[in-house]
Amino acid sequence: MSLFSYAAAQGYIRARLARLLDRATWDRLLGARTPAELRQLLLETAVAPAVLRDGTIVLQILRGEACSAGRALARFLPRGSRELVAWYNRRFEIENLKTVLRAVHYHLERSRALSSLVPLQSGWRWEALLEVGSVAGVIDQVRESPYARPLEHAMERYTQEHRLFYLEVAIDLFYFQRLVRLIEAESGANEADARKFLGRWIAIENLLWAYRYRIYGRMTPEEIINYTLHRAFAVGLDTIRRVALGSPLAIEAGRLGLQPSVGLSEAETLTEMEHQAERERFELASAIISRPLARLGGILGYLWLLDGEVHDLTVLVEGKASGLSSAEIARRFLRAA
Amino acid sequence: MSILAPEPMLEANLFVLEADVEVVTAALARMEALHLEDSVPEGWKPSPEWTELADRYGRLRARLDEMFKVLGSKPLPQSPAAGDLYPGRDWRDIEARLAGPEETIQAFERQLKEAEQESERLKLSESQIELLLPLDMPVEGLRQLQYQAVSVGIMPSENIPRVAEALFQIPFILIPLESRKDRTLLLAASSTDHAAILDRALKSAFFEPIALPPEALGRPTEALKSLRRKAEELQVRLKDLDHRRKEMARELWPELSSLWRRATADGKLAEAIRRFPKYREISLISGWVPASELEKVRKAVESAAGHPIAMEVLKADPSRQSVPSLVRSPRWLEPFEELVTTFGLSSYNEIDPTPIVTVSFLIMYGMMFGDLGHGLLLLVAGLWLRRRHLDFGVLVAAAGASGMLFGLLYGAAFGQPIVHPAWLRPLEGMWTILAAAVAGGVLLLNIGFGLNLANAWRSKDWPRLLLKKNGVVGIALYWFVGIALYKALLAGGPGVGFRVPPKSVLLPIPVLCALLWMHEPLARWIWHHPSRPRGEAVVTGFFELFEAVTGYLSNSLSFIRLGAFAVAHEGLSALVAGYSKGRGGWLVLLLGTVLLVGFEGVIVGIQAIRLEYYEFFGRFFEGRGVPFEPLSLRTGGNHASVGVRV
Repeated sequence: MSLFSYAAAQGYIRARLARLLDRATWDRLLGARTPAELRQLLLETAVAPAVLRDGTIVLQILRGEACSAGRALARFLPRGSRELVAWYNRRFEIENLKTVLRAVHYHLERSRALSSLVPLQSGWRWEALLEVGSVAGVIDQVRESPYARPLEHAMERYTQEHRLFYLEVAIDLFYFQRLVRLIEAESGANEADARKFLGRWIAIENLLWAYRYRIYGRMTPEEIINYTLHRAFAVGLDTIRRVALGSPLAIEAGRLGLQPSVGLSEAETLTEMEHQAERERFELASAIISRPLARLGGILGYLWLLDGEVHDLTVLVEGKASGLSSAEIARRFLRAA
Repeated sequence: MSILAPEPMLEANLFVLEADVEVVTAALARMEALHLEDSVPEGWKPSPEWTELADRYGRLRARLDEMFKVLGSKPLPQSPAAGDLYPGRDWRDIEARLAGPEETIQAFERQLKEAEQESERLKLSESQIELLLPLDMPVEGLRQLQYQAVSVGIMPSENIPRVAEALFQIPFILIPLESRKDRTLLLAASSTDHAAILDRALKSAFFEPIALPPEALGRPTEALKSLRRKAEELQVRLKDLDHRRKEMARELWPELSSLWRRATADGKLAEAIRRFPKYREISLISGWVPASELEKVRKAVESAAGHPIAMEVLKADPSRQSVPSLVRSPRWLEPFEELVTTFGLSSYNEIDPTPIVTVSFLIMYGMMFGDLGHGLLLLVAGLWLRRRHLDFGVLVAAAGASGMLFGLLYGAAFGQPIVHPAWLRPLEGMWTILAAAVAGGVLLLNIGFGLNLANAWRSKDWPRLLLKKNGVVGIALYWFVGIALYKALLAGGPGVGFRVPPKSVLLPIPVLCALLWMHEPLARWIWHHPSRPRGEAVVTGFFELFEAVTGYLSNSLSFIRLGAFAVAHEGLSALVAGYSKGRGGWLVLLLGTVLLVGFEGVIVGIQAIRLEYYEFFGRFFEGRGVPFEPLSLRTGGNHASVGVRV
């Protein structure tokens, strides 16, 4: 049955794969001498909808399209996988919710907040949320959503200390804990794919959170443990405890198969690991997409490729705007130069 | 208007005097016929006055929402405000009318909140004191512990095991006392030496400490009695307040509802107006209007302004503009639109494939699921879903009807050959039905080719029309390769073996291949079309050619599944019918039929969708249209409030 469900998803993906920018196009885009030339070149590609008529490049439009693709694909899948992909796709919604919370908390300009929102066709009234005058008001507005409960739990602490961190960490933990449960509920080949793609991603994220809390947040061991996942595949409670007690990042990253460079500070290693993990995701996605896609891995791989494309386009647009050389920009890409 | 093409659009630029801008915008919003332009002139900034007004209406609505929340009621969101709208000044009137009710409601809310908080606090105090019942000592004694750090408070239940893990460095005690919803009343203790660690761990697990109630004095039994008496008195007060809330809601709802609708509508207008570019006294309202509504729009705005309005009307140029697409399907097609919109919305230049997809989907579905009885069950299920207001039901019912029609062609009901087949029985005419499936696929692919030519023509994309794989060259190559294969393998009849096709068929193939291979350099040479560097275009062109030729074959043969599923369906149905003849046969028939209709019904639906999306859409359809979302006063109407959806 699931094989047949995946047939429709495969049809959808195969029909859309051609929209991903090919290597030659990337080379052409990299070769653009000015931001204006880059805009012109982008208009000739499949990502032209992200270039508005006034010349502004709004890559959030592409992220909105990636979210729509995830939603459409989830609808084709059998129940367990559908729930998993649909929940995974909620990351865009969470990102928007965090944007709204930040905008309200820091009293950001409405236009600035609006431009940071991913345009989602999800039934949420994002603009109306931005109009709410307080963080408590925002939480009240989303009371029917699954995020209300974790947000309410963290609200007391937020009210006392006025730090958004508590709300953000509460949503993240809630989102990832459920994602872990959904992955564990899969079986057979789909479970293997879910673990290989999402499981490893979650494990690495969990490890990096722990180090961010330790390095940038200077948090105590008990705080680090409370703000990370206790069950996250290769990075469980034992690993988090080691991190909390001071285990070096190079060692823990090495255990996960990542390859930190020698002689870097922990903060530099952390940045390096973040990029390495993103690159690894992209390579995995590129490898799976060239094979038959009749499994969950194919769906996730495609969604990751969409994410990767937006990542690299962001690097490209920002890099060109800041006058970086093509080689410097290419080095920051997820795809191989 | 064609059901295959989006409604023709015109770009309308209205030059409106500052004095008229409110009434004109309101008239346009009431008509719901203008999709405002997204872009603005370079360097132009939204009007600060109107931005402030838009924000002001947002705040007014938020205040009204808050008042409705306190009253436990809601405005009617779909009905737009009645009467004329003047967003520039309406806010004064709204604010003035809002002040009185707001003051009353806020005073009431304060009383309610105080009573609720007090009630909640008393409940928690009760729970705490109940736990202390076994202690035969005064409650105040607990406040004076010297060697133990004790905290009582509530915490998300799921965080308790997390805290236990986080306290791995110290000895501690955690006693869950009582759970309410998803929170637990918890007692946590450690030695005073470790109090700081305990405190940090609890805080980071969102623990909310509760101080022992100050009014709890004496032995726990006495303290509890006193607390319960207070709680009962409070309950009576809360009932009174609830009664008052209902009365207030009845009294204030009509006025607040009217203010809410007005604030919403004015807010939408202000949001739109703030983005109109302005030069001295003239505002430019720029947007897209369906050609059929242009005159109505002109009359409406002139009637609103009371004098002629300068309006520039330009033809849409989709090659350089993002023109919204408005497809008005006939009512009967609406339930099928989702088959296409799940993939994407047709852009202005594209032909909307909904009618073709509807027909081809139903034919493919019926062909794979041909059975009078099974189709009838699906038809009934679809009609039942429709009665429950699910549009999806129409699609299911139509698929069932198509299954019934093919059931007649196959002469089968519930797997039994009940009538003479009008066409054939799939199991007996297996080769015929497989060949028919491929022939149907070839027909559909060629419709796709045709649509691609039409789309290319509409967008004046000559390389796509002539040289690319779904253009004239590609179609010719598809047919010559197909005829050559037919002549080589099948034309001599079964068992004849390979025959060399005639030269008239073979010779054009390399020429067409060369044209397809070189399509990019040719497009650059003929139409100065942007392309990759020549060397790269030649290399990638070769691989594209290879992919195109293999794609033609695989896409055509992919439709063979239509026949294969028809054969499988008849085989499985016959199997169920065969096993249902013995004792308890009705049960086998029932379960088998449920399985066949439920299980196979879904599978063939998915297969048909796959063929539509990959094989058919791949030929011509991009589906990246911008939906036509006119300026509107309705809640959930778009554009005037970007990004807001209800």
